[in-house]
Amino acid sequence: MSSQRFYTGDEQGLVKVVTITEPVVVKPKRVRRNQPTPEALPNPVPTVETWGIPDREKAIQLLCWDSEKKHLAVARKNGLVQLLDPKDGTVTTEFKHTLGKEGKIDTVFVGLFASSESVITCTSTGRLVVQSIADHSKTTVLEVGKDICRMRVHPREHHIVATGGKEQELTLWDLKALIKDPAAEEETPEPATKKGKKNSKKAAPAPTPAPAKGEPEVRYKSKDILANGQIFKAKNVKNDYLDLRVPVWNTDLQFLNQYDTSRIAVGTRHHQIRVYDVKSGARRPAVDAEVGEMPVVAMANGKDGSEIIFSDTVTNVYSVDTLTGAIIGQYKGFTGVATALATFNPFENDSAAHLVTVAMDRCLRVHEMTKTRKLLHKVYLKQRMTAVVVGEYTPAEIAEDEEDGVVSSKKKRAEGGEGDDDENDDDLWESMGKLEDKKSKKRKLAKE
Amino acid sequence: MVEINTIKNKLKREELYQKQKNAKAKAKRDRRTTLQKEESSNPEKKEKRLAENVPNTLENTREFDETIVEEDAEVAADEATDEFSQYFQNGLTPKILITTSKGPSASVYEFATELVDIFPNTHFVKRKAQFEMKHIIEFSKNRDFTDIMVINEDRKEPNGLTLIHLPDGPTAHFKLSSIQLSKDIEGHGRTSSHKPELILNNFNTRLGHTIGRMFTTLFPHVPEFQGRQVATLHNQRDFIFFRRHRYVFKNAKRVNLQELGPRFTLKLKWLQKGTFDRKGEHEWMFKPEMETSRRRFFL
Repeated sequence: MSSQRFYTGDEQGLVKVVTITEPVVVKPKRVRRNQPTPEALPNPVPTVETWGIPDREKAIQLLCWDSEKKHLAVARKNGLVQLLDPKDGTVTTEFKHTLGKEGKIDTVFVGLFASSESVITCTSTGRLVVQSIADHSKTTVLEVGKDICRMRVHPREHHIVATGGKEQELTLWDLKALIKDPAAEEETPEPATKKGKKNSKKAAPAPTPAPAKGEPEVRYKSKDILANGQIFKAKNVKNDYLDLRVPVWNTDLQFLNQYDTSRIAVGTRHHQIRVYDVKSGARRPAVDAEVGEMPVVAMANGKDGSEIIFSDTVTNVYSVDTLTGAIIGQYKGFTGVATALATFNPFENDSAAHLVTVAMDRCLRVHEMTKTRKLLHKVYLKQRMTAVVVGEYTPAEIAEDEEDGVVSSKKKRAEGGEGDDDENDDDLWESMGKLEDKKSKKRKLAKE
Repeated sequence: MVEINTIKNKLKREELYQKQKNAKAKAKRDRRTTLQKEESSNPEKKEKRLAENVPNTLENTREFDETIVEEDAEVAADEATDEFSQYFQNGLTPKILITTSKGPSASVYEFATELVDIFPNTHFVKRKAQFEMKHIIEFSKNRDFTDIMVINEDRKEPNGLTLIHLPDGPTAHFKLSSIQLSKDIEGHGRTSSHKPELILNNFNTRLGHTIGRMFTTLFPHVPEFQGRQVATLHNQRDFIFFRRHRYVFKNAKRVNLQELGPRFTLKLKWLQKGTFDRKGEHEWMFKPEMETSRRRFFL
């Protein structure tokens, strides 16, 4: 029996480890006429393990793996950022940030990322903090603008950060350049902006900003607009048919490509999905499509960047084609808003990915990402859920496989025992069904 | 034995059929009389029979719902600190604002009057067209209201009720139907201004619990029992029936009920986290596709 783990976070500050065990796939053996058909095994019940004590002040806002998948990073409502051991949930490291209030609205974490050396967090007030894990006093604080709704770090290039928010266009930042800058600025405060920019250009190494620095940038004059450490800053779409400005309110974003930072998908509160192509040099989105009628809540990458999955505030979960912006299909079965989505490949070789979601209706759901979009598992977790990450996959044990007659015979074969050959052949013949072409079947039926 | 319906002669067929029918009826009668005799001498047997003979209904054959709350420490801890804890833990007295949709018609005012009568410490405020819901919510928060009720109408008839719990939500929207005002109920009694007792029936699931708690917060903690008034919210197949009665004590053993009215039926359409926001996140939302079976209930 193979099993898949998920780690979820909720409003009570509990981390729950959900282990879903796949039922054993029994190959149907040939059943003689008088034999009763073997009963299917009941689906194993998912197990839930809970870490922590219920406390609303410690409500989990974000969860993520560190880049080596050794620790689970947790961002909590009271400003606590913790690294948990994924085996038993003990806190290995923790940092305290002060979140405070902005007017009547609580400041929340909008982005969390952990690499092996540092933890990057971002709050809704635009305070981006790079905290070194080894040296707690070593922190770098950057301001990325107010009313940020989402910050994401590129999964490969850990120094590339994307932000977006209310009246905050999608912006790509290069942390390497940003962190180096302040020293230069301190020396010469007045022309800092220009000098800083030059520095950032020099400091920024080749990997991704290269296309943005090349010819297209000059063509679009984005050179003057980019501030310190920015690689790319999107431009609002053209005015609408009444020549009115279209309001900006980005709620979530995703890097579409694991290997470079060229394509980024953005979901908005005004129910649009936009795809920006940084490489092309254009600052406006390459794809801008209106989807549904309600704000986008959360987004997840589908397979190979051609598909994106998002949830809206009226409990819908749609899958969208990132090349055209058209809705491909809907995932059903939700009764509350899906607050966090994640996709994963359940088996190493299997091509069909799965989608895992947690929702306000206190359930975790796993859907198949095939054409049918079937609901595979639903687990009631008793709390309004806020975050989910996909844990490790434990493949089926070999010992159990050997019980299966087919496998063992195959193994014997592989060993190459010559004396068994005839027996094996018989087995083989027996295991094959009798072939009948469709026409003869029809004829038989007609005769009867 | 000849099959009656194979007999071709109509008169013969009728005769035999009638005979068979009488015989069946007699057998039944005999069975019942013997049973009656037995049970009159042995009342335990009757009790046992009645206890065993439970007819199947949609409710008692409902689809399994894992969210039905039984003794559960985690859910208890969740409820201890939820949005209603101010009422349950700190004993906050409810103060309710009742208003309508914009440009209300006469029937809505009538229904609002009845609602004001039901809930103690309510204030009806005429809806002004220049104020949006988010303004009203802010005003009410400043004036220490604990709940807002908004009556919606369609074709000059009340058809929806939105409950907003203040200050942090949640917001629930109900379909409102089968309204019978007090004056339309035959033999209804006059109401008094006593705080009524509250009866909540069958709010069993996690969602039902939230809704039940929401209704509880509309009534003061300690009812005035001398008023003998009782308000009932009875949930059956996800429809919430509201009734109001007065106990009429005949003697030490017998008690009658006098209906006070009004009667109305609510059905939950959505539950939103936080105070009302058109673009807010829905904790639960009814969709027709959820009606997969007649035995599936959510409350």
